[in-house]
Amino acid sequence: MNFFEFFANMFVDHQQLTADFVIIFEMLSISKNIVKSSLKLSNGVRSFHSSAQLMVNQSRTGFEKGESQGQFSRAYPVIDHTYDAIVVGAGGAGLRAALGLTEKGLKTACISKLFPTRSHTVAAQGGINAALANADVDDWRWHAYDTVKGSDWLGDQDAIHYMCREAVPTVLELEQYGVPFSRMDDGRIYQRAFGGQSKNFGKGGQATRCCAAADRTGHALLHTLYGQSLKHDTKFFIEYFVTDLIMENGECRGVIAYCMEDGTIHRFRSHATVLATGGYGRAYFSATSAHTCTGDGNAMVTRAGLPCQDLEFVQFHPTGIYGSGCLITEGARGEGGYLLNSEGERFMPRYAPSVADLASRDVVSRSITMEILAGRGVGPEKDHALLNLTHLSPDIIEERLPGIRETAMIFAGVDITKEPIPILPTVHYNMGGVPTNYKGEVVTRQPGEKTDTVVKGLYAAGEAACVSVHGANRLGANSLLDIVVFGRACANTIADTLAKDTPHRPLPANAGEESIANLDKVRFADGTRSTAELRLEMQKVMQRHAAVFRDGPILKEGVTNIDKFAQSLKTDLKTTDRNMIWNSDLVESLELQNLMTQAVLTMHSAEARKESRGAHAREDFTERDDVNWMKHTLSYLDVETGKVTLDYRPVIGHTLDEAEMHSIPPAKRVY
Amino acid sequence: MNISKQLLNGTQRLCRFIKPTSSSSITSSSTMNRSFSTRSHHDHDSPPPPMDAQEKKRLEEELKQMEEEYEREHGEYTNPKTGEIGGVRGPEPTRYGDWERKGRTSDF
Repeated sequence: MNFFEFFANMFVDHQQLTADFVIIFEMLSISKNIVKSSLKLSNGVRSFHSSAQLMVNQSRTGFEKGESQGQFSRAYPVIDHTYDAIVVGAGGAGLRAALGLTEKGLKTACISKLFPTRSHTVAAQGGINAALANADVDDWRWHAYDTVKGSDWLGDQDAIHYMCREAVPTVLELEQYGVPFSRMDDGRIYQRAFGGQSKNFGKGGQATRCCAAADRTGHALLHTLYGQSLKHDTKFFIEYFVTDLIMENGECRGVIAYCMEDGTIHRFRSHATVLATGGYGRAYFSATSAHTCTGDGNAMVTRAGLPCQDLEFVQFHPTGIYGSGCLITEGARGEGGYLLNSEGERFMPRYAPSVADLASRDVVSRSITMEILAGRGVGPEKDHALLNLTHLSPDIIEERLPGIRETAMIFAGVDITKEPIPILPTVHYNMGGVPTNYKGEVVTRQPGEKTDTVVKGLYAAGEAACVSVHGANRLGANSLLDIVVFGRACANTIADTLAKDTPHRPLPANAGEESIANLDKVRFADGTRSTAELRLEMQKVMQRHAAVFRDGPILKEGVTNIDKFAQSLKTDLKTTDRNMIWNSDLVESLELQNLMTQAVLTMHSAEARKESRGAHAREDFTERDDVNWMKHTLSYLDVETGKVTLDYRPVIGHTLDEAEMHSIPPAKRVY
Repeated sequence: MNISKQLLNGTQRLCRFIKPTSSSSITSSSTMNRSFSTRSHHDHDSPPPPMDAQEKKRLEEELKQMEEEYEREHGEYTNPKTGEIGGVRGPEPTRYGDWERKGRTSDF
């Protein structure tokens, strides 16, 4: 079928032959020969000036003849690739791992559903902690002490030892790669003081160890790592949505992915797979994370029958703008702003009589949530509170908090001198994830065993992993450090254990079949409720039941609701786009499935942990219980039946080397 | 000092974009004479309507150009209080215990 027949068919079918089209048609008849010859020229050569015919018929391998290829067919052509190592996710941890692997000479592929510099790492404005001792005396052991204390003694001390010790060489290495850190006048990296960091094991006052690149550290880091990994010839597979791991006898052989651009399925075979897929903030109604933070790596691991660790620990910030999820600074309250409920009452003095709105973040978050649960929330759904700055002089606001009027106008649509800002507690980090050891190897527990088993061929780094360095609560400026240190650790471990040119075994027969079957099922899902509706229901359940305020009855009700939701997702899902190319309906539904596994496991883990530790605070068990609960939660989900199994593994209390760093005995966490 | 004062003015003006400015040209020498006291006469009764998006864009472009011009002449921005080279302009982001820029907190 040539250009004209196609064009003619289009108009004859729709009977749109108006006078205009007749003229065009005739003009085309005149130029028919010209077009025919130009098509001949462009045969086999990709032309930038595409005509209708080229767009319809051309595929990557040349011109296809015959009916449209695979648009609505249920045959899934699978393309196989083989690499020494693959990295899933191209954020800070993923890029650092990919870069490290290619530097060591391994054939590496980096697969990401987003363009690398669009990963959520780009949103991190602040800096990285490292005990460089540029601005003040410092010692990485003091940093380790702060991290152990910050984690409320749920962090594994060997991993914290490793991270804080490696922080210095890692940050200097980043400087060599070209991250534009801000400097002191003698050229050394400028460090600033940031919360939670102390000198001399908490006894020496504020420590100064946060290194930043103006206010775009995450952005600068990501761009630098992307540039460096391109320099070392990492192969990038961008906008490939990895759906599942390929496991064989408890060993990870690779992954299977859906290419969004042309609708094909790709299997990647490798000796080592690194998961760096980030957190799952979007399981909650209010989250700062991008809409793409859907815990894909955690879900893949869950579906492979492996556990996730410590999912109940989710960090909240009290004043996130309702709807958009951007966080309003504590300075707004520091300068005199206060919180209001639906009755126009300043409710904070009731919860914190002496400090009122200046109470610590967790107290403020819990108070807001309790007001909402008591029915005094504002808005049509009575689900948020208000932050009032209208009583402050506009000049004072502009001087002390420049730009806040603009921010509130853009993200909340309010003029802060006239109306209060709608806010509610917002998720900004997930401490939990895929359990690993300090080398980055994913670990699991065989049933009945008392020690960890390393899962061969599988590694994890970044927010997706739970090493666990953050334990029950993460300190600021430690997340950017975590991602680069453990991305590097994964690369080093893989390079050390993998000999170059190790031969590959063939993949098991029909590897990835279940994943394709699931993809097909979701693509043709024909239930009653759309993805968006189901996702909103899940987010509301999580925001209500597994948020900051946790209590026995609320958690139990949450468990019932989330299980009901998981069942509803299996039976009621409806998708409308049946195409395979750029099917965002399909991808969002797969992401919702991933979020569902995380939501269910988070809810069950939270209900089971009967103590308050770090970010997990319960009204019915307000104290930390080291005797019974100083252990990591391992949660397994059987996706078929929806059954959750919980297991526990002890916190590692010894350091890597007692001579280098003493282990820190548990103590009460007060600041 | 000319340029840095203008830069400061420019930043201030952009941050207060919701209030329309009385002076039309940012590069006129009269901007140097504008002090904080003349700005304070802007009313406290009712805030003026939001600035037009095009106007805001134009101001942002001008500000960016001025910043680049400053950097070309004087090298990277040096914070007068802390001596940090290549850091942020404006108040210290960590002054409230979190990282604050334009009223937003960033988590990292």
